[in-house]
Amino acid sequence: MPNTQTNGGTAALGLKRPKGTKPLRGSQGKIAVLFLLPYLAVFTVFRLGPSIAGIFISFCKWDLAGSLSFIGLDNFKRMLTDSNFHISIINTLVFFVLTLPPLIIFSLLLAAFFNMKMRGRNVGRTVAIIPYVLIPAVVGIIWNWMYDNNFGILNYYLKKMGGPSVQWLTNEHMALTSVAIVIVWSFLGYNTVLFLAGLQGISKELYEAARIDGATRFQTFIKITLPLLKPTTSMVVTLTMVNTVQLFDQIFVMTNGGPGTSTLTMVQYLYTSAFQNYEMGYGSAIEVAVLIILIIMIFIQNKLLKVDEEV
Amino acid sequence: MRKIFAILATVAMSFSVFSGCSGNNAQSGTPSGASGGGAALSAATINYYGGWTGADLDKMNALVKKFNAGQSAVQVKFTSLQWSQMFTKFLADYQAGATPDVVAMHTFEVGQFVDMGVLDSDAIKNLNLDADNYIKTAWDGTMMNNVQYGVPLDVNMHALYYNKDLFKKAGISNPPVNKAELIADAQKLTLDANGKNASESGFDSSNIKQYGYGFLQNHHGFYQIFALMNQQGYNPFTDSMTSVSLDSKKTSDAFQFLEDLIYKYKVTPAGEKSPIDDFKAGTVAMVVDGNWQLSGLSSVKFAWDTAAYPRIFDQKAVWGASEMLTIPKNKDANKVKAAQTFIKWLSDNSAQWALSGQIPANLKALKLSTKMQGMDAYTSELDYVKFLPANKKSVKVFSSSAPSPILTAAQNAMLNHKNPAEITKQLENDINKILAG
Repeated sequence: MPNTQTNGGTAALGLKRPKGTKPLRGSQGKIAVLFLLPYLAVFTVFRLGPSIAGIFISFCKWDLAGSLSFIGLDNFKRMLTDSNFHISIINTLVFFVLTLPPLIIFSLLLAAFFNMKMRGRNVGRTVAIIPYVLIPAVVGIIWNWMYDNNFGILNYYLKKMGGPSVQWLTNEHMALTSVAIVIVWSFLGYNTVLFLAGLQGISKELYEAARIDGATRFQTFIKITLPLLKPTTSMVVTLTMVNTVQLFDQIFVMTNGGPGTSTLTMVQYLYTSAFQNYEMGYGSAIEVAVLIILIIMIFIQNKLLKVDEEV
Repeated sequence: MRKIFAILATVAMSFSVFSGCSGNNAQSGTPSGASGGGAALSAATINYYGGWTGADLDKMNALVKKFNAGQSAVQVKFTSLQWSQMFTKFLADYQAGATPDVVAMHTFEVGQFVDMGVLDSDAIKNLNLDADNYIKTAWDGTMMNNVQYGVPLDVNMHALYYNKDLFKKAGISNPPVNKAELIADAQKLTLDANGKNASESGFDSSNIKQYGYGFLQNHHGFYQIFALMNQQGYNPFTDSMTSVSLDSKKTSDAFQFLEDLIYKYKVTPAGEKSPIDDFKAGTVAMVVDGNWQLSGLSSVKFAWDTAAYPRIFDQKAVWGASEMLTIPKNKDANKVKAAQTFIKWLSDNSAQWALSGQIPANLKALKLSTKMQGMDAYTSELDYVKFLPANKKSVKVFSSSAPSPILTAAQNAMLNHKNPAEITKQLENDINKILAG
């Protein structure tokens, strides 16, 4: 029986297999494959297959009604001079920069808070995840009303406190930040749960040993918790990157890419090109560009965090 | 090896993000089918796609039910989604050889579908309809290059909703008909927390409790710009346009008027999300909106009415659109016959459609239709309603989603308060980029 004792709580969450354990072989390996097969089948048919088809379509011109015609790199050449595409890249990267730090830092702090022994922490953990499980379109509609310039609740309280009204979603300089606030609110609980699982996998003996050695709470957090959480952090950063770059529902409902093009992200532009302008080839080319950018970002992130994957 | 697996896993996860947006390896479209004439109609079930999602959806559902209950030869399965999603479904189904048999669309959208070659003009021609039985503008809107591609169902346009109770309180007896009256009335009806109106000294524009005039600040904002350009006798958009050259003064003046309402006269809330809801809540005294809102005002507790869209410049003109019923190309001649039967019935019985607030394009149905409260103002505009062109690129130029040139222009004026001349220049450039593409 392989030793399945976790080391840093990373076995279930990261790519790192715990030290002292062996890869699954023989009947256990077959059972593992059998459990994975349904997901892999669905993934291949509904995700991987269409994605590969999309890459092929990116080299074609197709209006959905007629036949595909191969046009080589024309769609990609068009991207080089398409100012709307450039705007969408910038907006996507800015949106990512606005959302990533709070989604990592705040969720880690929240997880550390919920990891402490205190009354009501289970209730707190449950409440924290609620924004994540709400339907994204519903979240967008509700925040739309909260953000209303003239009759929204946020400006109502700002005015009551003597402050000015904020044009949350109708000012081109403010709109992206306003949407970012909603996304941080939505995903904070999800990241907190992931970090919480990572924290709970860290052996208590390490903290006891540190306490005996006279380490302060801060030193313990910096020297023990953070390093052992690295695989979890890497995974959370990767998931956050994917979630923010692929974000569509909330932006579609709240701003639809506006005002002007101030919240036009790459996925938003992909949708408009493919499903409103019926330029499936160009939309697919944008998809490929998103994929490449995402792979580069994940690669850089892995290098920066230097996660050691002992598989 | 382990690193390669990790990279592949990362790539696989990245793929999972985008598979939903990939197109399929599609089969070629259904070839054009025969239309009209020949053998008698056999029993058929047809698919009818529409884009109604509000109160008018219930009215269309009722009409389809009535048709199905009244005979057994043709049964209609009705599917309604938001317009752009419906068109995507239509094209995907067409590509898969399972085209719907009747598709509703707006007249300015027909150009792109004609260009794609998916609509059957012969099926419409063989209905042998009489143009004199229809509102002329709606009838003309179904044409592209003198070929008819659909049957007009209804006409809708902008007009002014006004709160009679608030008007009475402000001492205003009639709704405004021109620019001077509109500004004066809107100022009297815009009140701050101290009860001062926008024309009085000491008016606190940072603390407005009630606005005088509201309107949508999205693509409908541009529809007002379009109307205001036509009110100056100017319309640069045509069915066959391959480029536009905008009259800088006339276009800028149109943008400037709407900007002034928000930023100079302070009678319109900046960034207004839902004028009709603000109107129902009693926080905006007048709003510009379409006749599709009429059916939703039955529960309002105050006295209200509608008036024609004010004449701001020299002539009367107002933006409008028409919905029409088309028949996609179909090999199955019996289904085409069934679609023709349904469309003819729907057109002749569209008096009930007026209950949704729409104006039936069929003149006999219009006469028979129950006039909803507020409908008169809209029907009074039929002589000067202006439609957007049915150019094959109209859907891209006049799109309601970013990065639509008209949406960018409208929002630069109403939300970002930019210079109208610069907005006009950018609008011209953006439209020409699309037309040239």
